[in-house]
Formats: sequence, C-alpha cells, structure tokens
Amino acid sequence: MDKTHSVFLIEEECEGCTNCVKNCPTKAIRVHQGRASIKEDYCIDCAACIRNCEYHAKEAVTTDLVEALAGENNIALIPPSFYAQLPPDYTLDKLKQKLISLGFAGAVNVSIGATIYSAWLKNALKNKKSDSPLISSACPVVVRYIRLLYPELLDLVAKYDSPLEIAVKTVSDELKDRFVDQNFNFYFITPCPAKHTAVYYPPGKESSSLSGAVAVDDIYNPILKAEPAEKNSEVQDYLNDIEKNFPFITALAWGRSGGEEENLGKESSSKIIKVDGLERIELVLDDLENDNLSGIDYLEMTACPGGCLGGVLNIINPFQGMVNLEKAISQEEQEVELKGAEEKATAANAIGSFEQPEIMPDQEKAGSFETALARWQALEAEKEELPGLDCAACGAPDCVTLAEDIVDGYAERTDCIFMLRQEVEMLARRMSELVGTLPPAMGRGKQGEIDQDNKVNVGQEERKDTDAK
Amino acid sequence: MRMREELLINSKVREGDFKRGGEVSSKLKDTLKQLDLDSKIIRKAAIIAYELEMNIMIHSEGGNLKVKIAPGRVLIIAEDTGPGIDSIDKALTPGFSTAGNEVRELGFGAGMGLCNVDKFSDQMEIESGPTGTVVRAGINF
Repeated sequence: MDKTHSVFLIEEECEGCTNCVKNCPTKAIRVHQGRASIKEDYCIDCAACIRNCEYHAKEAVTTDLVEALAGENNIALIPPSFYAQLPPDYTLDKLKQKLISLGFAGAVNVSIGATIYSAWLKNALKNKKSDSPLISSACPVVVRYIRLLYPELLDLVAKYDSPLEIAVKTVSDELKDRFVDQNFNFYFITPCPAKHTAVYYPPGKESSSLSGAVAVDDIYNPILKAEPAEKNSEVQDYLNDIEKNFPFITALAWGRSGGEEENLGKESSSKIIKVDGLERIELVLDDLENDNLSGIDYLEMTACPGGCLGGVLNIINPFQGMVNLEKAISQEEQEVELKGAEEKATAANAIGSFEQPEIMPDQEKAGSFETALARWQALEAEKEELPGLDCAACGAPDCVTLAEDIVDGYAERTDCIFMLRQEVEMLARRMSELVGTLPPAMGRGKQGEIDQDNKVNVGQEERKDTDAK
Repeated sequence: MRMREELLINSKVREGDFKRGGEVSSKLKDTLKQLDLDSKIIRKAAIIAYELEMNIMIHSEGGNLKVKIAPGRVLIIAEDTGPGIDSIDKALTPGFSTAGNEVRELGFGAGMGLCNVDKFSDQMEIESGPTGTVVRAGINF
C-alpha cells in the first residue's frame, strides 16, 4: 500500500459539496476544482467523511477477499464486533466452519489478544504511580489522532500492542511450534479502514504481523451463503485449543465501548473514563491537556460511536450490535468450555514481556523560530481579512484553515467568495470611475465635475445624445 | 540583535465566567502549535495559562491574561484587580485553597493552581497587594 491511509475518494462520484470537508476532525480535506482531496499527512482514517458523504464518494480500500484466500495457510481473525453482525443462530463454531469452507485454513478470535492486554493493564493500573491517566492503545484512530493533534499526550498512551497484534503474535508462535516448516498468513476481518492501514503502518511499530485486512462488508455475503465445512481442519482444532487457554468469551465485550473496563474485573478499583466518538474524545483530551482531569486512572477511548461495533464497514447499527453481542457472550459462555480460571490467568500473565512500542510524534519542525513567527504574523493578518463565516465555499473547512492555506501558498484570497465579491466591487468602482473620466471632447462634463453617483448614467445619456445625432 | 517580544494573546478574563474557562489556554495552544514549538513546551504553557485563567475567574474581580513570546521564552502574565493573595507561601502549598464550596463543587479550587504554575514554569514572580495580583510565569525553550 503506497498511502498512509485507507480512506480514498471515488472521483467520479464526488459532487464537490463540502460535507466531508466540514466534518473532518483533523481538517484533512479540501475541495478544489470540484473534487475533494485528502491531505495525506492529516488523514487518520476515522471515516467521518465516509459517514457524511451522501454521494458515497468516499470509500475504504481493504484487502480483496480473493487475495486473502490465495495460496494456503491463511488464518482469519474474528473481531467481537463481527460476531455481533451475524444472525442469531450463528455460533462461533459455525462462523469458523463457514470461514473454512470459504478457503481459510482456520479462524481465531481476536479477543484472546484482548485478554492478554487486559491482564497487563490490570497489572499496570495496580502499580501506577503517576497522577496522569493511561490511555488505551487499542484503537488506531485514537492513537493517530493523539499523535497528530495532541503529541504532548503521546507518552500517556499505553505502550502495548493492539489486541489484534497480540493475538496474531500469540497464535503464530503457537502454530510455529505445532506446524514446523509451515508459514501462516493472517487476515483480519476489519470493521474500519484504520485497522487496514495498521497492517501497513502500525502505530509505533516497524511492521505488523498481519498480511491484510478484509472488510466486513466484503466478506459478509460470502459467509451467509457459504455452507459450513463438515468438519474442522487440523489447524482449526489446534486454534480452538489455543483459544481455550484464554478467557476470551468475556473479552468479546471489547467489541463495544466499556468492554475494556469490564475486563478489568469487578475487583478493580481503577477510575476509568469510557469515551466513544472523536468529538467527545476531543473534550476529554482538551481537559487532559490542561491538567484538568483528576482521579482518573485510565481512558478507554474508541473513535467510532459505540466502539468497534460502530465501525463504518459494519452491516448492522451499533445499538443492535450491542444487544447481539451481549446475547452472543452469554450463549458462548455455555458453549465453550474453558480451562480452569487459574490456568487462564497464568496463561495471560505469562506473556508479560511483549513488545512495547514507543509511538513518536510525527510533526516536522520547519525552519527557525523567526520564520515560524513571521508565518504566524502573516496568518494573523490573513485571519483579520477573511470574513470568519466558516461557510466552506472556498473548499477549506473554515476561515482559519483557509488563512493557513493562503499563507502556505495552497490557496488564494479570492478563493473566498466574499473576498472575491469585494475585489469585484472594487474593480466595478474603478471601472465606473474610468467611465466617468471620458475625454472632455466626447461629452459636456469635465473630469471632476461629474456627480459621483451618476457617473454611469451620465455616460449613457451622452451616448444617447450621440446616437440621436 | 535582540528581537523584541511579540504579544501573542491579550484576553480579558471575567470573574466567575466559567463558560469561557479554558478559552485562553486553548487559543494559546493553537498559537504555539503554529509557532512550531515543542509539544512539551506547549503543554506546560497551556497548563499554566489554564491555571492562571481559572485563578482570575475564581479569586479576583476580573483581569487580563497576556502571553508574550521572544526567542527562547514564553511569558504568561496574569493581572487582576481584587483582594490579592494573603500569604503567597500558603498559596504555593499543594492542596491549600481559599475557594468557596460552590467553586469546589464545580471541580475547581483544589488548591493546585499556583503550585502547578510553579511546577511547570521556569521562572515565576508574584506581586500581590490589597488591590490586585500580578503573576508572571516564564517557560524557556
């Protein structure tokens, strides 16, 4: 993938309206020449534009199902949110058998990664000394949002891999032991574009252990239509055994906002804020930045409303999803026999020394302080000029952003329809002044004697006179 | 040649105007981001501006918050008219607060304001008398 984001524009569908521009939380979109273009460095794959485009001109690029099924030994990773998309008669086993009949070697629940994440987190919160809260690293959009707009808060982000990466790493290590000399490829069934991007540009990591991410809405129908495989593959049997080492059923709750807190257990006394949706996340991060949150230990944040269930590639609405997920959890609790509770905890805690990536800010420092100050002064001056109506007709989301674009040479002041009108007015005034300054030989009036308000009329009357002769 | 100070922000802060609480701080954040300052410096400046803004709202009859910048230094100046600070030493004690219950119920007045300013600044001066207070906090970068 050559781009650092997975959201893209279908050019021929774009009507040049500015809905996406105005709703982009990072101000990454501009409409120029009637087409919305995304500023690469600013897009965090939150999919707000996909949600807001009524022409469906915004889409997410994801791994093609055919590609994910090419060759052998491809493993599908099932997120809890996907399980909640399916009809009520689907058990996890049935889903896995359908994935096998589609051509996967086997399928495994991402929630095993969540159980490990929860175990670390429980430990970290118990031993936490700092007053500042820890921030969940599970949602890649949140991590990228912080990296772009709140870089000073980056060191509060938990230095844990996402549950998805943890799950893949855990499973692939186990598979290597069992199936020596075989290579496995891992494909995530993704509810959002950001998790596709995370396969190519995982926040804070050199590379991901995944090979791709197939969109929920691409695999949904094939799954409904597939006949479940009659029996499990050898790989699947082994994967099921691995799963049973983890309390993964309760971790299915990670599919919705609040799931992280629940998985810390009732005995946890940590104070947790659960926030979903970027607008609300902004409120919390602003206060955190001002050091105005007190007594909070952990911020569980998901960019999509409702958590991963609110992912833009999902089929059903997140509220129905929540009900489905609850039902699924209680159903699976009866179906799946896990090993003893003690064993579960040991298994999760054993993998304590995981890769803990440091996420670095990606802002670039351009030139000297003097240059920056001069730019700021130019920007202030430009802001003074612009009307401040934030109408977005210029293609930028608001006047301040247009001012920035003007100062940086990406836009012109006359891109603003009001500034253009002002220019036209000035031009018209100048023209009418010029009309009034006809050479004396052509009319009675002398320069300077003409009534300012009637300049044009005077000129017309003169012409009529001439025509009459 | 020494560059003169540049005034970045000059905002009036009204007593008890909590609706606007944090406005100066967030404007300062935006401005310092434009100026390409290191994110750690921005965070310090934002916290200081926020605490001083809140102090004016809670403890004074109103005042002014100014932010100036010169190469290597951000200077935040809070000037207010009001009763002044009785004991600056006490005001710098963590947890000490003269804020009333109403303010505390809003989640403010925890007695960390000036301590935080002190903690996050590189220089701090307080002048306080019966007619008002001036706090100057500088951050080096």
